[in-house]
Amino acid sequence: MGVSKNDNPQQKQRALFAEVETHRGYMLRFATAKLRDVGQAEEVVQEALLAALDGIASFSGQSALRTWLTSILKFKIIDFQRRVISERAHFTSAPQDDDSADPAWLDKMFDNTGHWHPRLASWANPDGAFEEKQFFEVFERCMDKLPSSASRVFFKREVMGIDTDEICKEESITASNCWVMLHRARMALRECLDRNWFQGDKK
Amino acid sequence: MIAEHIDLSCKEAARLMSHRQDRALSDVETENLKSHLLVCLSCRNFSDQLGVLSRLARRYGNDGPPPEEVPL
Repeated sequence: MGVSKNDNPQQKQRALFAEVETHRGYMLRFATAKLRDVGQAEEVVQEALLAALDGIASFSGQSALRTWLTSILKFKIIDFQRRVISERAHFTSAPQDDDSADPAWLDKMFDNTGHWHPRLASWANPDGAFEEKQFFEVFERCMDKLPSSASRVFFKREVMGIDTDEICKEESITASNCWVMLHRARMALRECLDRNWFQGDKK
Repeated sequence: MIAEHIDLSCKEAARLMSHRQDRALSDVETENLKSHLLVCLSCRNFSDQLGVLSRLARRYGNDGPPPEEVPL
């Protein structure tokens, strides 16, 4: 956090509140991945943010703010799911992507002999990109373009780091269906980052 | 399936590179992928880029983007 104890406490709190707010987008995606329903996700994020602001004094600054907020959010999500389950009998399960054939957009990345078309150029200075806020914004926009089920599965696997077995169970899909969805999500995201950052004019 | 070496297309190689992040590849799959990567620069680039994507996703879930440089 880098805020010294000598700073005006009100100023310090205002800065911290503003910083908390910058994590709302991430929290909303996290909650949407878990709950599927954007409206419900917004509700839970709001609850979590209020709880966070309420308990901001207990934030030690030892973990990243995002990590701390996520732990509160996880608690609120579980709480919410318990409430919903007791209110309703079942969640409806989402329709599954068809994995019988590759979609046209994926086929178009290759020529008819299965080679990359066009060839893939290497990405210059990816480490530098990690230092730029806009790179993360491009990543968010790319995730938003995925079909919701693919976006959810990718988020669980790569952002939250959940095992594929557990994702399959949560999503009620087979392992191979899960692998296919992840592969397609990665192909689309790689291409989107390539076009909008590494090969494009960046900002 | 008979365990023998086949020349992978880039499309198949890309699929295996993605899958190896989620499941263990068989010995044959690993061998075929290794031989393909030796001769294919695009697929080596793809492999690096999948790594960047994973790091980006993890970083997104941990610290998030670098903070904006606003003075207090």
